[in-house]
Amino acid sequence: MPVTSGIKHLDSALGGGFAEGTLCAIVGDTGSGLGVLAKQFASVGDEKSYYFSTMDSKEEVISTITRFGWRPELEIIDIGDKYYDSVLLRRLEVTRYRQEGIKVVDVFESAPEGVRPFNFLTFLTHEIFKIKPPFRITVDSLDFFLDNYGVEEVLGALRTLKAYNKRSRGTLLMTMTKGVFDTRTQNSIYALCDTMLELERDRVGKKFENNLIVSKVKNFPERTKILQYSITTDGFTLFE
Amino acid sequence: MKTSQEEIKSATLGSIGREKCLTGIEGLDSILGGGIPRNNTILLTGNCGTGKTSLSLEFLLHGAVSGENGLYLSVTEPFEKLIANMIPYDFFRRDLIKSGKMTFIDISAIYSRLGFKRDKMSLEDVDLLVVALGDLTRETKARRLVIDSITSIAYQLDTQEKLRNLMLGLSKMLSGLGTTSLVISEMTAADSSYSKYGVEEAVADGVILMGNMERNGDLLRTLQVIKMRGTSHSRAKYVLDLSTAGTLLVPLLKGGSA
Repeated sequence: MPVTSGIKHLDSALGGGFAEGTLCAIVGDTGSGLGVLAKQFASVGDEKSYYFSTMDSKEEVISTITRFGWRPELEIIDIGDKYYDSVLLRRLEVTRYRQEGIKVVDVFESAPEGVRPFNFLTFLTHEIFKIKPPFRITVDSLDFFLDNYGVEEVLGALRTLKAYNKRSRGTLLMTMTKGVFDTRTQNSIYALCDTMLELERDRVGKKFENNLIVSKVKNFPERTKILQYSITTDGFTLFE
Repeated sequence: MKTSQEEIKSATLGSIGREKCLTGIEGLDSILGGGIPRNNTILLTGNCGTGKTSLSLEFLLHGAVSGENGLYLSVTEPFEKLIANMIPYDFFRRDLIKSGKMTFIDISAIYSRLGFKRDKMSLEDVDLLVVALGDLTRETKARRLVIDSITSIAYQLDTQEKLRNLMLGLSKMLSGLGTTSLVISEMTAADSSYSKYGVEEAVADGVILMGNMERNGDLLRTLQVIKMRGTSHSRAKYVLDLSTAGTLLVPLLKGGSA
């Protein structure tokens, strides 16, 4: 049974929805509505929905979803918040020590040494492994992992997740910003995905022209096509 | 010991002008003509097990007892363990640590606060480390300082230039603060010079070499002052006797009874 994307015309373009066990990457220009599409996908379906957010806080995710009138029944895992606590906060502290100097009390108190650094990629993989099917999972966005870890490490984790997703007949959707990473990285991710969607935003005169390109559907190359879209109060709306 | 007292007399006469920092270690002060010239940075070098850490702890401890604050910066050993090494000494008092006469700091804590990458510190990081150590020296009002060891710090530095910068920066900063310091350097038997990289000994104001020597099946600890700017000194090899009363240095020919 195909799994609905939450967007009417996209489902029909894909042949009823995503095939079971699909790993889908949505790549888009900044401002093209990547995050909206991810949240629309995460708010539909009968299976349980998990949303790994690297940028938006839980409140922001819920607020966007309710603004569009979607169902906010999803489990949000806020990676951005964890990142703030375990990495950014420490970096802020480092700048303080570098700027203001160190006192004896600073080197005596607080954090014990030798604490295992938090690995967000391992965390993501581990958290997803704990999820029992049926599920749909959204990772918004992959940029965070590519920013913080090596391409090979990220690809390795994605291969594992792809296999788990396939076996569980789930749907795993990831977003990625276009043009931020080098071609080799992008192509490696494209090659790994079962389905690839691209969001393109061009300015034509005084208007934006938005295209959603179905650029890869594994085993169904005839389903690739270009659709126009706009984001309305209902979310993504596609035109044939 | 008559001989050493006589030596002190003659040595003190021989070195004019420069104020000395008494190590308090019996025999060493006489070899050095009254002690380490103040504000100098001395490289204390030797193979493992030759007593470098014990000697430097004793140096700090004697200072603390006579009212001079000391700072021990360690990379290799947790300070609980270092403190445990001093407990056997008759003149050790726990309140010396509580009252801040002696402060022990783990350098790796400084690394993590300043966000240094363990595998490669930049030149800026090296400068920041010197500044941080300066801040700590000032804050603790340390007149004696021990770094244990420069070799461990050097592992984080990928060029000799950085090590040179570190040594020069440290010695300049410490000298400016009026702090006399012992910088421990770990050598292996294979090393041909007095320090791992050769840079350390060139920059230091003095070099004290500690070693092991086998005699009649016993392993003796030895000490030799190789170089000491600002004072005339003996370059003979001495034998170390560790006792609860402190370290005792005796000339090699007479020593070895232990």
